[in-house]
Amino acid sequence: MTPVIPHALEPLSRADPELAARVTERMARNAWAPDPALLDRLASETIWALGVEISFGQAVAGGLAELIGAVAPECLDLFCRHVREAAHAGSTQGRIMAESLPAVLQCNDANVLDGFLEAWHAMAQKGNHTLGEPLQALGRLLAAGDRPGAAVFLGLLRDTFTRDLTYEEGRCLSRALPRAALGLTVERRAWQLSELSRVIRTDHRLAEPFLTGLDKGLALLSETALKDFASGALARYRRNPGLGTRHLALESRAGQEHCASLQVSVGFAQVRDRLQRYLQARTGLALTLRPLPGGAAVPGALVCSDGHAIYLPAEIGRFARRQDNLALYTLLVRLEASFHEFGTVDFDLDKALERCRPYMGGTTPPDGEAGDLGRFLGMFPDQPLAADLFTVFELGRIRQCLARHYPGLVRRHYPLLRREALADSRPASGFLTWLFLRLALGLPEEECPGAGGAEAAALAAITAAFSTAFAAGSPVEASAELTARFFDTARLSCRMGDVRREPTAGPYWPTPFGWRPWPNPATSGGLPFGPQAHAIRAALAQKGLKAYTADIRRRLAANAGGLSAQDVRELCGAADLAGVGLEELLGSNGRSSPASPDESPGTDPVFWYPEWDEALGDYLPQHVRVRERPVAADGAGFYADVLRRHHALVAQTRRAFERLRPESLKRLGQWVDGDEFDTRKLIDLAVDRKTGEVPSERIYTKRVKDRREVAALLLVDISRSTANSVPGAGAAVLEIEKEAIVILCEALAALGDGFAVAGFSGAGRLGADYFRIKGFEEPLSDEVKGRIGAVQPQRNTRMGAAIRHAGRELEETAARVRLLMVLSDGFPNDADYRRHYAVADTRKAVLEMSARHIRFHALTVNLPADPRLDELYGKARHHVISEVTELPGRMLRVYSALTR
Amino acid sequence: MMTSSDLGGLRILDEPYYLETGGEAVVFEAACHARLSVMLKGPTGCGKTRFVEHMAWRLKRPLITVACHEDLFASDLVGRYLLKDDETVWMDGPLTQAVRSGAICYLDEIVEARKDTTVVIHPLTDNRRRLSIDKTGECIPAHPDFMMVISYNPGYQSILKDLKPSTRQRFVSLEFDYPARDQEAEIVAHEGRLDTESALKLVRLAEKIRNIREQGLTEGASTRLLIHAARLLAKGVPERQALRTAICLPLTDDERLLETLDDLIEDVF
Repeated sequence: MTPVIPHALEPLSRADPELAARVTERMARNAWAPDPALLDRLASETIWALGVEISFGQAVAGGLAELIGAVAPECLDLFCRHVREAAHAGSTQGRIMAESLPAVLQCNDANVLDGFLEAWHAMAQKGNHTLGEPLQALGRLLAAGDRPGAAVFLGLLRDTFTRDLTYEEGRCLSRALPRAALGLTVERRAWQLSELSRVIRTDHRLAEPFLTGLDKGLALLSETALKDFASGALARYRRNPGLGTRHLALESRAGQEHCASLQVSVGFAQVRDRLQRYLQARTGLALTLRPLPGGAAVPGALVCSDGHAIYLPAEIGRFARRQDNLALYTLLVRLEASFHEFGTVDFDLDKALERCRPYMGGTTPPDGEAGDLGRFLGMFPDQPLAADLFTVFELGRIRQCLARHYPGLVRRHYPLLRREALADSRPASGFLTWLFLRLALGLPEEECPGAGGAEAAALAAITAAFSTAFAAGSPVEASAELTARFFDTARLSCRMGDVRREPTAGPYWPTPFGWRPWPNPATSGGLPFGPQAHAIRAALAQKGLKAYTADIRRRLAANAGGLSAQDVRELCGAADLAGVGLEELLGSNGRSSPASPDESPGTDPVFWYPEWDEALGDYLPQHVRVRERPVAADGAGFYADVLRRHHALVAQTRRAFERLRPESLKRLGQWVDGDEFDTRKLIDLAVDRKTGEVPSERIYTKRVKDRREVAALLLVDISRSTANSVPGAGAAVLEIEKEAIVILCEALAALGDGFAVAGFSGAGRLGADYFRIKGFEEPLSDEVKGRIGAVQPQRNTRMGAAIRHAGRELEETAARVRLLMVLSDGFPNDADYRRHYAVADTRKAVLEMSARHIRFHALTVNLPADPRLDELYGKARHHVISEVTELPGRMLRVYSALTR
Repeated sequence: MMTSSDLGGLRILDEPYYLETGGEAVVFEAACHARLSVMLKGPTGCGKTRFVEHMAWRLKRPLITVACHEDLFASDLVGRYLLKDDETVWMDGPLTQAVRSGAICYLDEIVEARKDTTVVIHPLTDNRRRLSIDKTGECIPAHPDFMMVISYNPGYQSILKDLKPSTRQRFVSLEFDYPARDQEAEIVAHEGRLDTESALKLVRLAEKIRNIREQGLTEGASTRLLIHAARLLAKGVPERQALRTAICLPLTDDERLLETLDDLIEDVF
């Protein structure tokens, strides 16, 4: 429906009806009617701006519409004045000013406004290209309510763009600074940006190294520690710029050690690998570790889990010492893993109701999707109290299980839990507090703050019941039984004055670090195969068969989603299932088959591979689509030309590699047994016998087969960057790489090793291409030679998937030694596959090769030595060949060394 | 030629301890009486060799064991001519000895041997039950009590080191794995001369380690490693030192995996 345009906006409507309609709709959202004089102003300013440029006019209209009614009229004057001033330098600046100034004015903070104008002035002088991203970032900071951060950010922009920057520097910084600012946490943003500002004031070229350092670990330093670090680094810089820069970027050992010595907080990324391995070993389950989402899944909880992952804080800086923060991460994983190992997550409502019937009579659980435990707790009139009581008993059961199976864990880590509980600011005495300390944490009675006299009898009864309730292997439903049994007692005691919770706190009694079974996503019904298990249980019940949902779910999980007749028999305890109609009942609970290549007839084969997501700590399954593409040969001209130009090297290489070829049979002398006598040793034997010496028994020779079973696959990066010229060589990087491939092919043909050659490039995760240049089974024919010559640079470098696909090809060879050599000119880089993410995935792919007994080695050309290559490939798994022209010779030397 | 006194030296007189876990002794005994050959498959250190020794004792047969390796030739099994005093004499190899004398011949880790060596056993493991010795021109029928037993670890071998189907299908196969927790604890307690509670802790630790087999440990912690650790503990070696030297360091050199093993030890002990 077309809005009714106010009279004051009619001039605007004549100039741009759509814009007038939009403004009218925007005004209508306000709770007040706008002053016609202000609308009149809006119209006139907008019409003027439209006359300069349409998008400028639209921005002016949008800005004024936002401000009218939200700020004082003087602010509108400010807006109009600054917009007109900016427009003197062109409509683009005018537009950007109109888009960014409203948020600043709405702050109603003179400091922010002054900062904005100073930053604007500095950036505008550098050019329009510096304005866009930084001011958008400013708007986001202000919209998020981070005014201090925004103020510091404006100061940073001013400090940066008042410096003498080249166009390129200005362009890069106008991208890097806003991204950095938005990536920082709100608690730390202001002082971290302040340090960045200080660094830039020393030298703006230090901005990127400092941002790199923040990524690598400086972000975890406290404010004082970061200041200390930056001061030290800048002092180094003044003495030696190169050293200082590396120190700041944490690329030097001194920098890393300096940072480590100052670091008190521990980041999730620093501990994840070790804790992940522990988690897998401890539980044997497919659980990963992930950082807690921005809004914590469970308020106040430092740890929780679901069916797929255990969630931990992105950073822990709670304690003054680093080792204590590390110990907390360790504790949290061990505690939460216990819910999965000892069955808390397998809470079954049917089992619980059977146990609780004597105490709960005919109460029925509410319907809903809260999971079995949620529905059980919903049966109580005071659900939070029931949850708290259940928490006490269940954590007590867990403690007993841990004491039985992991006494070292309890001995080392429970003191921290107890300290946290005792240091709490809650009232010292209380019914639940006493129970928690005594039962859940196992504190001796004399160390538990005394509960009131009237409660003592109740506490004694509960303690006695607890000590007999949990035999070895007691299930989680035993905790439910105790909850039902003592709920009324607890309710009575709490009503008698137990100050259980602060009014402003959440509904639940706060446990140390928020570790508790409820609320917790793990017990809220989100486990793998949960819905299927419920459906099967209901279907069995309809047939008169009884099985528990939790048992069915566990069996489904163990069988990867499948359930056989035998499984059902065991679950139901029924020997005879005749007439039950299991096929129909079980439906399609077939096991999922592993991903296989799909081959659409008439198109190139396509393969799907997972990709490692470092932030998630897990694979993204079936994420990258690799297409095997043929390479059309272009005649063997290139190949022949290389042989001609490098004939000396080729001849030398052939001779050298022929010498590496093993003789078919090796003759070993002086053996204790064999096929023939060693004549010399026979003579020695005769002489020894004559002289009365004991003759040696090593008088035989034998022949053994000497085999060399090597299969090598050379995987070549043919991304766009390989089209770059090599200074002084008069050729592109890929041309020189192709020359090296030719010479290597000649060498391997002389040696007799099986080898294959492939190229890779791609664009995006659905467009990874794998070019099969020579397969293992193919001879070095003219066709293959023509393909080598025909390879052209194209697109990007999604290295992880290429490595995985090459590994697949190598696994199919029957060689004793399998070698994958990657030839590249830089780091992996593709759409949404950059920097740390790409490095982590590539590194993971390299580790997968090791696990599959495929040796890996990388040659990086046309790049100076970079310590990040160690991170990418592993220290001993790569060579850097900065001078590309040396590649042919060096590659041969590397190959022969690897396969000796 | 083996004499009865030589045979006596190969007979096992004291019962080797073995805890049966799944009826394997019955199957072995039946195969023996039916003159069938037996193949034992299982991870390293799970009791295959001990089982053979136990069955040899139980069946009162001499046991001749050959540890197979890459340089094992047919002549190493069958025999060769040697110079003795002034004469060239034929010396039976271990396989020939077993065939003639009616012993159990146990080829341990058969996949390590060369395939042209392995094929020597084919005539002995089908209905022919004969051994041909080209160098002496003999064709020896196997003693009625002769039995061929082979073992191998299917887990970590490469595709090159696999038994040919023509070899595999000459054997009755018994699959071995690490025993169930209580049984393994009993074995560790007995062989390691350690109390049951401590043995159970060792087994629990091994279970956790076996969960991360595919993370770089080629094999998990075997029962044998647990027994080594138990013996060190029984001799009073401090816990962490015993576990590190007997379990962690033999399993891996990878620092990160050693870190994880340390974490597990800290929790379990």
